[in-house]
Amino acid sequence: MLFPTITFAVFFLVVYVANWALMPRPRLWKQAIIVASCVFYGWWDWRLIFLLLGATLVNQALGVRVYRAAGGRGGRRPAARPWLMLAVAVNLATLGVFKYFDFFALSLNGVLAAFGLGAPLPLLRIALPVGISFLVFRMLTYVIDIYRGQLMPAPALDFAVYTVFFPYLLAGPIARAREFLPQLREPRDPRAVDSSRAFVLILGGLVKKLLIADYLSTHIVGGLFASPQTYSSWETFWGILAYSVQIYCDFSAYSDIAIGIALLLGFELPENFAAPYAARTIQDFWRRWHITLSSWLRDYLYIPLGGNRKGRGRTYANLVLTFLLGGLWHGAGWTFVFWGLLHGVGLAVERARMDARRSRGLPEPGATAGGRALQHLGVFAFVSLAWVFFRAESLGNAVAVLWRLVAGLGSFGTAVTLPVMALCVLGVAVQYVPRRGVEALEAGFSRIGWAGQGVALALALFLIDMLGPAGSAEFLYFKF
Amino acid sequence: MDDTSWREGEDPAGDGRERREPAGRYRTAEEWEEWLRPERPQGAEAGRRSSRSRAARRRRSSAGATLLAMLLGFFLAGLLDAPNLRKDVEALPYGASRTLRLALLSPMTGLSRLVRADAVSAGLAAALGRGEERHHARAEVGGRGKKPLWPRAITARKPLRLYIAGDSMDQVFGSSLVNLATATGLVKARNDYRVSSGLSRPDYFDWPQRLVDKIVDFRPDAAVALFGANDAQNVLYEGRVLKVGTRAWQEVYARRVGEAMDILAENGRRVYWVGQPIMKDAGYRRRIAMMNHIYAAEAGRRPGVTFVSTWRALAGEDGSYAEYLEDEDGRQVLMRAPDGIHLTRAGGDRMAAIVLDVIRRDWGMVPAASAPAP
Repeated sequence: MLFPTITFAVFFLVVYVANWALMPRPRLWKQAIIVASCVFYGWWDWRLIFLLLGATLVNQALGVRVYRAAGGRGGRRPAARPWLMLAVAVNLATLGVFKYFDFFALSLNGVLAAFGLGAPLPLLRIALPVGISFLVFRMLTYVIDIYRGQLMPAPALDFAVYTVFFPYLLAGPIARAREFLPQLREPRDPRAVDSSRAFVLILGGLVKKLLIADYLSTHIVGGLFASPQTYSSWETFWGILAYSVQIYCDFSAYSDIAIGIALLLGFELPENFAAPYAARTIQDFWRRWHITLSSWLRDYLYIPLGGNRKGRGRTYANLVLTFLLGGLWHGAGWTFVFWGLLHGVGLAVERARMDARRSRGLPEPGATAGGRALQHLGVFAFVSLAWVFFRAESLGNAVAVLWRLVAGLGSFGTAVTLPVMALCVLGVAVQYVPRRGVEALEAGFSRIGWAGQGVALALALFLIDMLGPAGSAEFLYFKF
Repeated sequence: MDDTSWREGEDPAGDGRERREPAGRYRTAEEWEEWLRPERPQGAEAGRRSSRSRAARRRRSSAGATLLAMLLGFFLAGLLDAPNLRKDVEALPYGASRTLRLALLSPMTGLSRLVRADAVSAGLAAALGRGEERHHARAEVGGRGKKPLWPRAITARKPLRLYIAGDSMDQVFGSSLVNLATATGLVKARNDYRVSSGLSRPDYFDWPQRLVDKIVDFRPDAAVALFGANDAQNVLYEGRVLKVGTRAWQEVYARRVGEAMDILAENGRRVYWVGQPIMKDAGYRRRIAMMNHIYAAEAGRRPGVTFVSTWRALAGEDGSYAEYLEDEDGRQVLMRAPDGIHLTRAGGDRMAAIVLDVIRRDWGMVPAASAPAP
């Protein structure tokens, strides 16, 4: 079920009423939200419900095993380690079979064929269940946090709610078990729904998705990546810029809508984006972009790898490896691996430069306004060029797009229109809007009463539908 | 939120060194270690903390008031947007689901008309210039030139102007053909696809008019068409809904295909009508095969229109549907999208290569790179 559809609006109204009506009866409420989430997920393919529930049962069992093996104390007990390893293996194997099997089989077959050994591995072409990468990461936080002694196993019903909660089910944010589960124990007050923030987030998300991301995708990005050689340097420049804006508006829109919907049900989900294109360093970018993924990678990959505790060389290597795997998490393709590699190397180089400056006692870069502007520009340019590999169909396609930046001089072409330029500029400019501006909007919205909010909602929905394209494309992050 | 990674006796910065930078330099917020520290609010904690700080200024509502706001919002939006909602539902395939949805929507569209809320939508559409596109007349397709479009010598200075039209299948196929054709240095190609469209539902998207407009504007020497992926649905003809696949349906569909071919082939323009490739789902595959027969038959009736079959080219060795096929080097390459219908880039390239080969032979084209020196 897609968020920006009438089907979802009807579904949500029913769920909303049931949510608050059943709130005084927690057990019934949990059962109802599980059923609702299964309907939401099964709308794609009802068989996926079995995957969802199967993963829930297995991880709950393993979580309890880890806890018991540790004698109920947690804290990384050796006795619990085999169960933890089993849980990690089961989850990664699930991801591996559904998402990566053909990618690795094809790559291995290619290598073997080069040595005249044929292509022995079969290709399964298993349909990728929507949101499985997010699901597996949520599962891992649960079992690993139990192992670390940061979480006790939850009652099975609570854990099932955490697993299937539909607002974040398909594309995050990656809520951690230890952040979400306590909210199930806290009473949710039906007299204090944070509706104004929720409505602003949802409407803002719809504007970003339907009016900006889909427009740029249709009018310049899709064409540029499909037939780069027909695009001029001018068009390529704007096309690359447009994709940076598109992916931000698309993905952050999903997160915003998910957070808004959860707020209406009385839950707080972690924030996922904080003006990422206003970053001054690549490290800063990753504090602002897909925050729940980057913090997941930090806590469950980078630190276990040794983080920055084993010398400079290991730190740089850990950074590269973390982001290489982070890239692969996004998709089974070499373009994603290369995109991750670019960011990993970028972070390592940035870190090495900082280390060098520090050891020489040089001042912090960006001390002047001009220096800071250059930092903003440099990071945005780096991130945008890296997105080319993320979007491209193949490494060759990415190179072809980048090559047009210099090979297409001499003409302007017709793809760069005023709306395209305006939306690109707007998409970057909004990142510099102070947060208090948004807070003031939310506060103002909260003061106009339910009737005023209803009218505002109606006008916004009407305008979005009038100005937007017919139908809505899927959110980009569904396939990751 | 505590982070046990930092309980293991390291220094807070985690790098094992003394903090020796002078005051005012190297603000730790810029350092990687800081990113790793738990004290910087992350995730839900950040959300919760910031929510609390804003809570004083933002009023909360009751669940009932929020429900009223949503109901009022949806109701008023439905009232204002009723004409567009109706248009969306009307675009659905003819059948029980469409009829039911129209019936459910009927009170809202009626009320919208009654209170003149639909005028807002119409006014805004007019202000946005919707529905005011200038169309060309069918008579303009004939063109001004007296010289036949085909045959003629194709050179880099006077390239073949190729117009490609189709539905969502054409999105990848058409861009592949543009890429391959442009690479010859002898073709100027333009792809024109429209997702969810086809020839069986002119009430949803008027392809004949679109073809007229594009031919008059672009003046192509030749045209490539790839339709059918959305056409296996019931059609409305003279007030009757014809069930897909029946004899009456085939006659009506063939007429619509023929009309499109006639527009494209006017003035001696060469037309390459591309058949759909084999599909995964058995029922859908049968309907696509039926439509491919119609394309071939209609093309056979018209001089200058060539039917290009791609069915076999995307089938496995045994003639069945295949996700992966071997390329020229014997490597397995993914050809189809997960839906069992659409194409990957490799699939699009394979189909485009077949079509381009037909075009080159038809026009006697020699690729620029291998052309003999004058």
